[in-house]
Amino acid sequence: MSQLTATARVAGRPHPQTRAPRRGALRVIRGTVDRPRGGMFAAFCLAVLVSGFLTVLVLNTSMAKGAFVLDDLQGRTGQLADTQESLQHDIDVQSAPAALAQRALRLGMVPSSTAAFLDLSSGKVLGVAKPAVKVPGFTVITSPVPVRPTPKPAPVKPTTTVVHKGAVTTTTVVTTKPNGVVVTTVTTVDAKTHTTTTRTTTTTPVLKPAKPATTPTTTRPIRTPATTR
Amino acid sequence: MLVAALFVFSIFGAQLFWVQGLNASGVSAEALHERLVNNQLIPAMRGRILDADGAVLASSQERLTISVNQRAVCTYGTGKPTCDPATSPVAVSRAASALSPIVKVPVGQLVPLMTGNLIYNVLVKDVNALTWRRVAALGVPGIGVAKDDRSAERSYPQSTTAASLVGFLIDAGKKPGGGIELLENNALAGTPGSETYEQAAGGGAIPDGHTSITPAVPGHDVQLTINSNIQWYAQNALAQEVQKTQALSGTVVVQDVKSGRLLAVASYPTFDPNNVGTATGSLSNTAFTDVFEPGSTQKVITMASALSEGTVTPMTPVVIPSTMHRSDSDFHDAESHGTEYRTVAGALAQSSNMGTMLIGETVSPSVLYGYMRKFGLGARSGSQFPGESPGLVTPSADWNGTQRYTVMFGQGLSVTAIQAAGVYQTIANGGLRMPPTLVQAVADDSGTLIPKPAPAGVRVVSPSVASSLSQMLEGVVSDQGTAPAAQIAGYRVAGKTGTANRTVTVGTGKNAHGVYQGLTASFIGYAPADKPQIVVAVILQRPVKGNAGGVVAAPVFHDVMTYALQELKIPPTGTRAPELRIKLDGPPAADDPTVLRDKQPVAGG
Repeated sequence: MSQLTATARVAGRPHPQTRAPRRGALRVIRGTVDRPRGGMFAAFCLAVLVSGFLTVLVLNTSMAKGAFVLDDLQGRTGQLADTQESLQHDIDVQSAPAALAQRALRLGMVPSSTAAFLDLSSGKVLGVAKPAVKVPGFTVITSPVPVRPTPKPAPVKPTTTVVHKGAVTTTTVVTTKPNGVVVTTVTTVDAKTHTTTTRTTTTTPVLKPAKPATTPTTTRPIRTPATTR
Repeated sequence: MLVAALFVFSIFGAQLFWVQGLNASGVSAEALHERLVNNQLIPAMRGRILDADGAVLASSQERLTISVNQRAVCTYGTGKPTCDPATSPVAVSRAASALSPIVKVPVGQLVPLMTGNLIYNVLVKDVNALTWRRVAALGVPGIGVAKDDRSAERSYPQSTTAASLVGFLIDAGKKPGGGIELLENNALAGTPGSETYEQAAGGGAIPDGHTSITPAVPGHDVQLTINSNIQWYAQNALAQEVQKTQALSGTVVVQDVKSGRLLAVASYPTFDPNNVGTATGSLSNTAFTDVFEPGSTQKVITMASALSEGTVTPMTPVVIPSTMHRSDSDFHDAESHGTEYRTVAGALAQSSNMGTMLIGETVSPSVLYGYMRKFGLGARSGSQFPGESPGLVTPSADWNGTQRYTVMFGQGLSVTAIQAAGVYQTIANGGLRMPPTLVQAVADDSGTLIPKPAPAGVRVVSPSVASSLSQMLEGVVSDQGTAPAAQIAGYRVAGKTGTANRTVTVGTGKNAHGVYQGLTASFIGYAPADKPQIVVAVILQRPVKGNAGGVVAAPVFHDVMTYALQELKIPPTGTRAPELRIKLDGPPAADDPTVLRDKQPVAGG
């Protein structure tokens, strides 16, 4: 409507000098509304909007997809790295000298007892080349501490010792239980005084390596000139 | 009606205005805070400890603790967001069945852990990252790894072989407990990182959400000078001998002559570093930490002093009486004998205490003490091994009358096995002592191993004196010496036996005092004698079955040295040992001034 008004207004404002003589009769003209052009514009805007939405959607989707792909690939990388680490650890354990020696022993191999080399330039054998022989008692020790040979099943039957010394009779009963606990019962009977004393001691086994107290060598003061060889 | 609607909408509008306008930042911050998973700890991987050839002695793996949200796991496979008592047992049982083969825990054990009302309950501990990935791939709701449930586990693939050297970790793997782990902790320990991200309802990270990662800085690898094959062989041979002789403990040191690098340092009894909690043996390496009176292996220092000072030559005649009185004591040899006529070389070959005293008397106490210190006794070796002892060498000014003589044959002073091996390294290396090294290289930030600078050598005796001593030490290994068992077919071997009285401290507090109890048997030697490459020291404490160094220690020396020569591809030199005159033909002339003889009258006669 404003267009129409404006047109009318322009039309109704003649130039005072040039147009005045040709002035014809005024008539009302029908205003034309540019409907087809307006429809095109709206469609264009809609298209822009929709394509914008679609672009955003596609971008978002591809970003999300990218994130998933990235996540998958990172997961795959991590999994492969973890697998590699796990396998490498197994290799380290298997290739440890002790593990190899144990397998070699099982295959019937023996440690070489002499060192010998072949000089390729002269064809001479350096050192003593002898077939390796099985050394009795060679083992692969895996225990960190000495393993004392397990004693034969301890006699559960108590051992009894009777000692007569004058009027005093001393009976010693030693019972070794299967868990290694030693119960010693000493019963002393004095025939003269008619007194009986009983003393029971219980010793639990010491699993640690022998203590100095059990050492079989003699104890000497430190100042004595020592024997050395 | 219209008024009511307007009223309701105005309330909505006001709330909208409040939420979006006035309090927007607060609400969004609160929402973000709820989505954020804060400071998810990323454990730093501790550096590896490698041997000289790159074999792994210690490495770290990521370990996780899988936990369960009992209120969520019961929705597994039900398609409902919340638990339904009717379907929960079935869902839990199905979840447990799916997990069981992966985590290797029976279904029967998993079901009770997954049933209940707890938000957090530990399901499986110490699984590796690979296992967790496989568990996570199942997508069981409520199964996860919580913050702080990630850690790094240390593993020692060679177990007891190098345990006493490599050390161990304490406090759930967080702190070093000894050995190289402690010595090189600054290099080995990394810096843990942290991760903060926005979490979606399902537990995963929101792809374009707020994320900040401070990556963990892994520790640096440390490479040792140790050859793990020789280390194992020495450790195994030592363990066998300790068990065979029922000795209390033992050490074997294998050292490279030219560089002073330690190729193996065995110590037994030892421990399993993968299971430190149950250890009953020694947690340290006794070659560094334990001191003992060396006995006859010390005699080479007395010989070296006298030869260096020019007071004797290897061929100087020595008249060794059956007994000698010095200070307030009578001295004699291990085996009683009449008057013997020997050379200086012979006195060493047969390890005569009195012969050594006659030779040692030719140098002043302070000079002798000076040589002991130059040979490395009485001071830490420089390896900086945790708990290393400097040994105990009393300054000569404080020696009492007897000690002046006992130190000549290795009693009345204490050394470590590393120091004892260093004395022979010095002689083998032409008189140049190389301080022992244990760490060869430490990796930089890029992982490249950067070699540590080699320590400077210390000139102790001249090459000619070292050469004379070396020839004398070959006599020890001869059939006339004390250790024919140390002979290696095809090779020239030099070395010395030691069978010393062993001191132990008895009593406690004020009453604590040292007494001699049992023996220390040792053999220290090197090969090839004319072109020395490797030093091997074997020390056994308080052997019961057999006790002389030439009987219990020399065979171990033989085995370890034979193996080391093969491992390091050292061929024999093909030369023959020179025949050194050990015995004199008869009594030397009474007025010969060069002859060493006991000039002091025996007390009471």
